[in-house]
Amino acid sequence: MLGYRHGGLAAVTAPVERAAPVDGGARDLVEVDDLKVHFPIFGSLGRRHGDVRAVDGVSLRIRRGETFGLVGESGSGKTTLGHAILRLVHSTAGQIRFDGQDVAAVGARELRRLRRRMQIILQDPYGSLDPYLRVEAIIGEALDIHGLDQGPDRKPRIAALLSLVGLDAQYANRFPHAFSGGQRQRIGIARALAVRPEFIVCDEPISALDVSIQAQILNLLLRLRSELGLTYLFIAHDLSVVRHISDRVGVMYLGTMVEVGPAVSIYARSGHPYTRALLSAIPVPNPGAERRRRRVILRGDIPSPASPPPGCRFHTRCWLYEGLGSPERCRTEPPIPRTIAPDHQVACHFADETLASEVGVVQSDAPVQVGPLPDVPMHGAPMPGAPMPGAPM
Amino acid sequence: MRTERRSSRVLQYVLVLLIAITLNFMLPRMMPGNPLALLAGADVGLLSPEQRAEVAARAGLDRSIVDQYTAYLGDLASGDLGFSYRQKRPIVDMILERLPWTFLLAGSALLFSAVVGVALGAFSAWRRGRPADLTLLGVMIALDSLPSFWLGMLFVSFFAVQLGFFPSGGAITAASSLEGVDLVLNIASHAVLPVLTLSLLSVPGVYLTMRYAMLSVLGEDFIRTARAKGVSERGVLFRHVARNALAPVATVLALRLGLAFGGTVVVETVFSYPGLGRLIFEAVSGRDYPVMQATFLVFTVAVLLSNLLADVLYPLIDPRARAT
Repeated sequence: MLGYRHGGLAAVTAPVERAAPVDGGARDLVEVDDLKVHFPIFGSLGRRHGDVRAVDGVSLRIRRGETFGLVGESGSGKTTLGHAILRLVHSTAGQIRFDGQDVAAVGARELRRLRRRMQIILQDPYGSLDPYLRVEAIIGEALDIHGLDQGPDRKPRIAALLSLVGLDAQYANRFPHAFSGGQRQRIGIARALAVRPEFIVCDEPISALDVSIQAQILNLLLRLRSELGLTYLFIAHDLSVVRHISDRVGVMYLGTMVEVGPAVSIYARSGHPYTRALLSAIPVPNPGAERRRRRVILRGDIPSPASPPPGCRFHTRCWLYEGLGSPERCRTEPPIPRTIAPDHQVACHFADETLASEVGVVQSDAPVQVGPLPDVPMHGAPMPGAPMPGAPM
Repeated sequence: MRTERRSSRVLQYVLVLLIAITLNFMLPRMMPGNPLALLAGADVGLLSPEQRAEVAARAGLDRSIVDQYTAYLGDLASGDLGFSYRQKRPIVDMILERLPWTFLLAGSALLFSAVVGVALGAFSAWRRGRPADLTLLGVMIALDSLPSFWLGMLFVSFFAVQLGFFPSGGAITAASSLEGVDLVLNIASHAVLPVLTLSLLSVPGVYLTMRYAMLSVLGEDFIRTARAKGVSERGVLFRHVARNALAPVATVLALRLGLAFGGTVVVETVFSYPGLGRLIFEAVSGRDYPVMQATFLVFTVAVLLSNLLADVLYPLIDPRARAT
């Protein structure tokens, strides 16, 4: 990453700004510095051909109690980043600290203690639950490992968790295959909540669900956040979902963070052409505004993370790069993040030109999305929102 | 719903068995030449006219094919597998005499290869990609390609003839009056080499299945879930991975039970072991068609039963298969 820092003027005029702690000097809950996660590629005969640079020099801060939305296409490294924070994959270089503790360096016992505090909800509700374990065992295993709610407390606690996520406690004896996708995702959430974590990585928790179920799960996550005071890293591949729930948003492209800022700021005036392209992919519910706005559609696939393009990684697909007549700088010099608004950083040589453009911006005062999403009750299960009887988390 | 599906399964097996029986009935009657020769053995010329008449009457060759077929089914139902004119004995007696020995070989070999194959497969998956795993994998693939008769003969010449550790043939020391523990030891020492030969041939299959099943389970999301819960690496391997991997392995093992019977033909011949496999060999080399026919039927039933066993076992292991 050091190599990226001796850039041109931008480095001098726009120093990298650290996110300021939100509550007067206390540390951010999650601190990631220049994180790299590379996966080796082995050819025949076990020869190493190179590395997939899934995450290649990412820094970010997640503050206590906030929801940090992380977006990007498939292959941008957002899931790997989320997994690396929980040490579900090993990082190659850089630092990850959770509440000040170096996640990559802690021993097995300390890691287990950390895992009580940070959890994950995985994308695929069909793959994320062990088909051989009953719901009761799936949730109970987490309790047993950390010695929580053992003995006579165990059963009522599992029942309480199930009703917390809107499932009937009598389902505890069933196997995962007996449930629908939405119900399974609720089980996954109950499982993550079992250890009373402070921080949850939501790894595309609604992408694999039917649209009608997506709203339910999203609202459930929102409700749990406020009831339990959770901090979320919310990973998604489109900005519309993230906007709905995030305080701050980070946009990843090909293993790097191209833009970070408050959700409002990102949606109102994004300074990165890639973010603009993602924004223009959000459908606008107002046909007039939809007709008026300028959209760009990204061509081609994301390049291989094994051999990312030199300079700005996005230049091979960048509409602004084309519009500006292919400036050499984009091809040779990796852009350095700079601040374009309070708490809002962009890694683009031509952030000002992006800001001046109208691409992806909705031209009317109609909001991109309105109000809380409708919650559809599930069959055979009580509505989420029922207060949980006497089980403080 | 569940019983309905189960009964349709059983019906399928009954149907297959019926087809096997029918083929077994048709074969000697459809082959060119005198069916009498095929029903009585090759040397019809050696039979006295009375015996010929008896064979013909027994098989009902003078009656209609339908009558013959129903008579055949009736015989089978009453446990009559025919008569060996060569050995002058009812075939069912010969088979019953041999069957325990083959069960002993095939059963022990299956048990042995299950334990060893599963353990080594799990070990390999645990050390995936490391030298220990790759070495073991190489050895297993090499072992998998060895012919059984060759391995058997190697064992006989090395362990039995050169080292004298084990007897080179037979199932029990002839004309001995052993009792109790001595008898068991005597039988066991005779069984070691053939069981080892049979096992070494099926260990690689079990090993490869177990290793592959575990490796594919390791890539599943719920393993990530388990790790996130804080489950230790050992807990992940035993509680989550091995358990999920065992279903395909159990299927392979149950199917191998049928195959193990087939494997006994060569191994019992090499070790001159008095089992069903050698009975087949003897019947083939002596062209004792009725015996061949009957033993083939027994083998067919064995394979069918092991398939049925796999079908019955699977839902006991995998909760998803229990669902309606």
